Amino acid sequence: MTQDPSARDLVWLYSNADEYAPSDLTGTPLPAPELPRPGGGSPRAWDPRWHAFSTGNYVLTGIGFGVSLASSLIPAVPDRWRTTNQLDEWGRSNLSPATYDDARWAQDVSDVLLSFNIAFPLVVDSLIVAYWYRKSPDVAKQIALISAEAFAVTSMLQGTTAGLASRERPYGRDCGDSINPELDHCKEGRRYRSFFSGHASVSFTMAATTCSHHLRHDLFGSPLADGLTCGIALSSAATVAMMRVVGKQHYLSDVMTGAVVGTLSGVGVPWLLHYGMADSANELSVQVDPTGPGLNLSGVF
Amino acid sequence: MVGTDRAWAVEAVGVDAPVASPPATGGTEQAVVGRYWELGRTRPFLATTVDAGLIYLRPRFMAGYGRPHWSWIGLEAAPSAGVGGLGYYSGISAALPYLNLRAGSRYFYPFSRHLLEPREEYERSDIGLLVGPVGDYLAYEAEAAGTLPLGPGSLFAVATGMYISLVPPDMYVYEDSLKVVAAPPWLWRARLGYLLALGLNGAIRLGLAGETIGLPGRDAFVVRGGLVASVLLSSQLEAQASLLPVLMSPDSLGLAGSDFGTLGVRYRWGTDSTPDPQRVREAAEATRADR
Repeated sequence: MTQDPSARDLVWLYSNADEYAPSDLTGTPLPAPELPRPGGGSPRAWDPRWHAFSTGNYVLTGIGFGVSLASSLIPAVPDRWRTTNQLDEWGRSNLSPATYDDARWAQDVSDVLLSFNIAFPLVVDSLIVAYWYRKSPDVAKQIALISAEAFAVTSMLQGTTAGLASRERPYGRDCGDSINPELDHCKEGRRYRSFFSGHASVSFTMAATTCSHHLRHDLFGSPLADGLTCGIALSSAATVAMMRVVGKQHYLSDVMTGAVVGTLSGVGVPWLLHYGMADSANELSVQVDPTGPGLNLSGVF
Repeated sequence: MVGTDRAWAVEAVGVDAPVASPPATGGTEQAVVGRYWELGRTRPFLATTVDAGLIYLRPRFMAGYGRPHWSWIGLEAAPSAGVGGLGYYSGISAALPYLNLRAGSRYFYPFSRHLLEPREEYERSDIGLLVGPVGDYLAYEAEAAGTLPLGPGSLFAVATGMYISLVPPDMYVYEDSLKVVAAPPWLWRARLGYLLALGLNGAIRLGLAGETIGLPGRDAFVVRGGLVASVLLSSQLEAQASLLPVLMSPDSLGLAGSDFGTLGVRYRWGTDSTPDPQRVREAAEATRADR
């Protein structure tokens, strides 16, 4: 990198790969001093009492995603679970539009909100806030890895359960009737992966990890802003879950189970495996270590 | 028992992907390129741009001469992998600071899309019918993307022409890159947008984009418009998002017909990519003179 100490006002010219300066293809930017800028926030430090991501966590994350992918190969068994309960039937009858095509908008809403729920801790919290705004690369890395780990654990639980349970989705009974039986949703294995909801569980997992990171790192620097972010993330996850019912993809029991499992994973993975209760007198933490062919879980209570 | 030959990919990691495949050229690529690349050395190079989002990965490999990501000529190759299908692009590129040109061929094999019987309009369910031949295709495409500094930001435009092959006569195909039902062989797109630069060094970008996609074989148009945004985290790393819903179309495809192009990160890399001291000095002198 070239240096010219006499030209501090031109320091932007000497940007290296770690900095950004606009090229000649950008006009004069609006100053907007109230907007965040790189390094503008106070840094966040990783407390040595917390458990940083280690080999065991990498193994757990890899196993989680691997099992989730493998679970997609579990063949569907159409007749394994077609029974419902009164609550599920009430939801199917009263919360969903009459036809499958009329329910597509709800599927789209759940897809868009799900992607925001997933992206938020990875892109906003980790990259933009911790890495860029607060110049805290260690914390940024831990936030991203912990979020991915919680995602992997949830995916493993959801994928395996959905494959083995093989519950037919709410729209399934309409295939060949009001829904063209040649539709991919009718012919493919996804028709029998209703229990429990992947959208709901992953959304709640990422929302809960978002809350955990904001609570632990005070990422937005204000209890109100951090609390509001947590509330919005959870509200988004709840909307995702509801839209899965409206969109005829899941029964109420599917999304409620997904919400519970997702929240437990989104809270449990960050706090039990990493953050612990380092601020309290009674520390609570679980360590993941790869031991031989498996993983060893040890706890301090 | 129900087969899972296609479903395995769709159900990966527990959720369907809102974006089944990597998006097409957004047009903001050169508007956000950092000065780091502008002040690079002219040399033979290998370079990459990697787009990662939910749930796709699109690495683009470049081999050429010049300044990668800024002004160069060479070859491009881009495998694409998403839960919607697999494909690749290969071609030639020439980039000038204000104008990017490329031409090449792109093949795409969708996991769950089949060719379509010609109709006046299509519903979302129509493109999900597993009837008829698989909807793979080979597209020969040429594209020009221009960028101009204007006011507190950049004006950008993209013009794309596409010739689709491998599709039997009298069949339509869902084109996965532009996300439209096309009547082969011809397809074109024109996109225009403005990206406002905000904050220190203009690292925060927010803009509007609109595009028209011509479907000559169907004698129809698709019009989309929406928001594009990015935060330039470094000269190499960019967080980006865009959502251009359909404003006008003969079809009702919902999100499958919208450009929910990106919600993820882009990473740029190039060999020997340290800035050229001579260019840095010249730029500094030019800036001093302007002041």
